[in-house]
Amino acid sequence: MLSSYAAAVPDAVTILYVILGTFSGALLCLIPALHIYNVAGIAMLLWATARHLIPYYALAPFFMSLVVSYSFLNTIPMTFLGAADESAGATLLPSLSLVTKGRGQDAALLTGLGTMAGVLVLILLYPFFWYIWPYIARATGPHLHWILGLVIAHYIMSEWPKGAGRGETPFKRFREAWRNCFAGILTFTLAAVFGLIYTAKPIMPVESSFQNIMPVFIGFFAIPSIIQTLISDYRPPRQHISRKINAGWEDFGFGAVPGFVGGMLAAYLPAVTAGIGAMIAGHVTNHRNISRAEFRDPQSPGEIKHLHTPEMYYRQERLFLISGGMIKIMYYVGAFLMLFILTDLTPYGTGRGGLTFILRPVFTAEPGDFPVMLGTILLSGSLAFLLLIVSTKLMVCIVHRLNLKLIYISSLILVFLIIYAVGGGWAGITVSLATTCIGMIPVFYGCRRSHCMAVLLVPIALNMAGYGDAVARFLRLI
Amino acid sequence: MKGMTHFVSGVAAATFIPQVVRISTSARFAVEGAAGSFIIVLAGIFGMLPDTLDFKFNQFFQKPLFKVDPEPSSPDPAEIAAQFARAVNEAGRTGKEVRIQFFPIQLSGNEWRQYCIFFDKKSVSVQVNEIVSTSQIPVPGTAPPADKRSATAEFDYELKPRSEKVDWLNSSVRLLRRLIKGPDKPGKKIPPTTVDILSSTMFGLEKEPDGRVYFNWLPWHRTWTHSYLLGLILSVPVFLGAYLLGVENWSLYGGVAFLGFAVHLTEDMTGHIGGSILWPLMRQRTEGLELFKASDPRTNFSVIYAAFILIIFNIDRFSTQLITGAPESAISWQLFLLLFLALPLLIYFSVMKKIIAAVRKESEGEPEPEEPDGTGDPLID
Repeated sequence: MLSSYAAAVPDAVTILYVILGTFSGALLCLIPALHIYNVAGIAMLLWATARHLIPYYALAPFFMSLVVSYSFLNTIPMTFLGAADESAGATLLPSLSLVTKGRGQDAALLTGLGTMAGVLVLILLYPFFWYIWPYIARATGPHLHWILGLVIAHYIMSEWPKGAGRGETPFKRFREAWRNCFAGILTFTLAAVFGLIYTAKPIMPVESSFQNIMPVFIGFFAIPSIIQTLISDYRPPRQHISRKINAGWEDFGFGAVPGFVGGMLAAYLPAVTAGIGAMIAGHVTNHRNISRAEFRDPQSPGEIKHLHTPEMYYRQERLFLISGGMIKIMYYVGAFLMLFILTDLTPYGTGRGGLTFILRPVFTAEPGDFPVMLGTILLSGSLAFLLLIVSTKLMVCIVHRLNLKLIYISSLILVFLIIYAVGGGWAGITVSLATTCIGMIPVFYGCRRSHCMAVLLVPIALNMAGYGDAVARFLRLI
Repeated sequence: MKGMTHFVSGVAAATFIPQVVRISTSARFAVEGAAGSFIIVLAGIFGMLPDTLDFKFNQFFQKPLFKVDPEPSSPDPAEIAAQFARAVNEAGRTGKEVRIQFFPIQLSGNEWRQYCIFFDKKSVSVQVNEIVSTSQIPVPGTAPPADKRSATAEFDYELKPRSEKVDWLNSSVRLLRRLIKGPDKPGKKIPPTTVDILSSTMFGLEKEPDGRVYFNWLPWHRTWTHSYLLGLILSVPVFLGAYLLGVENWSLYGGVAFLGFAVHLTEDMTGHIGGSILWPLMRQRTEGLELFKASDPRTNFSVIYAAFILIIFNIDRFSTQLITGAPESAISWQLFLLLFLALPLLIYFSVMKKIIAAVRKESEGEPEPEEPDGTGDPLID
């Protein structure tokens, strides 16, 4: 009796910390454009200085719930405030489009439902993760360098010219059409070179090394987003309040496939974010043309034939949001969950991502943790989804009254204060300003933002292949 | 097929070569010949290269005689139709190939004015539609008034969708197509074209000995860029580069590059447009087998899925041998392919059959599809 009571105490404490983590994650989402891993890093720093704050057995559930909650509730700043991190490519464009039409509620809740679907997929795929995934992870493990090389190659090659090619000479036509492609290649190259320098030459002070990527990412993603919003004078209109969401069950069926594919790519492949995962998944699973635009009998005066736009075209916006929400949680949470897949083939798990990196020095996953983590995800996810519904309703009522400029300027100051405090002081601020310059190129020239991820993709791919040192020597960095 | 399909197909083909997989294995692993090579990436790059050359370079070097760039504020359907009629008459009068390019009408960052072009034997009709978003969703109530909505122009020569200039290669493909699919449908018409977002479209018009004008859709697409001989030529620098850099197994690099390129061309031949697969020996674009539409999601998805499974199958059996390939592996290769390739594809096609039936049930009237090979899809990513 006593032993069962004693065993139940840690469980109750763990649940308490899961709830605490969920609410902490929700609160931290109020800082627009700040990444969860930055927050997790700060929380880790606090825990390291005061270990009695969280008992060891509750450490992983606490951080897991922090990330789960963030996956749900960062939908609010992303949707209503246009605050982008490096995963924003998964949902940002349709969200903004809906908010400008006063349908922010649909955008936020569809993304949230996608994230909730992601929670269910993570739980339902238990057999897949346990019996099949270790084989895939072990078989592909020795080949990750070229798989990342494929991601890079496809990522660059699949950005097509957005101009129609107007101009009298081939050069003028080429220049007009290639604007975004040139900008993309430039961004990618600069980010890759920066990444090679940054990984070879330690710039940050040793005490900030566990967060050394924070100023880089804030510069690439957060600051340009804030500047863009300030320049564009973005003001969301008054939002509609409705009792229903504009989606059907079949949308979740269609959205689950790209959500799973993109999510698994982002969760497993190092430096592949939700944005890149969503892009690849879109190419792999696009079923829009399952019903194509058709010419039918004329329907209005002057029409020769009526071009009928199929429902599948309208559905794309919803699918994008649902799959984007799902990819987000598989990227943030799935990557960490894989740390707990402890099998004979994967004795150290297959975990990746910032949180795994942050926790690895102080935490070791043990057999039996995986079901606990699934329970944590389910509890935290359910709570976070309820919080999302409440926050969305609140945001719909107040967003048109918010002084976004003030919010963004405050965020900018806060972001710099955080970098100064835990991100390497002035060195960190200098790094973030340098990467801001690169991160502004996509903002001005309309290419993909995720080109900035070359900062990690290229050095990681080269290091995995064993060429990292050779390239660094060639560039005279070491 | 789509770019991603060609990309992964090329990669999958390369992984069938055991030596390629072994040298691609990270040197940190105990696999014979492991060298951490990026050679497989070449197959992906070259798998996408033919369309990259076309859509990123070739199209901007074209010199169309007629350019139709409608006024965004008030596009005139009569003028657009008249320009096409003039182009047909010019082609008929001179006997030379005349090209005409239609530009999209961009109104703002996310707004485009859509227009459709309908072709008849001796006339063309243009219809200006609603404003559409970049997702090709029409904005209700934005169609022009009835008197400015559409117009028709006639021309002096008859248009035809298929060329009569047929070389031995084209005849062979036609014969093969008829063997596979049965006789070509009689009275094939030129499908309508919709111009809306991002990219322009171009047609080639050329009078043939029978006095009719052959309508060639995107005449610059799948020409010299889709030739096996060009693939060979482009793989030479890869051979040389690998040799000069002193890379072990240097000869494999050019071979893998060519393989990726060749897989693309072969896949394209299953579609409608085909390609100039023996350029410069034979410059004419050879028709495809017309088995699939390039944009058909079922074809693209099933090929990508199959390629993905085959990649895992190959890299495992030629390196780690955990899943198949060794006596102590988890399962036999037959069971692996049955469970992870055949069965999922069977389920996928069964589900798609039901979905498509449901979609068709919802649709009404007698639909007429757009362009021949699905390249009217938005070139957005």
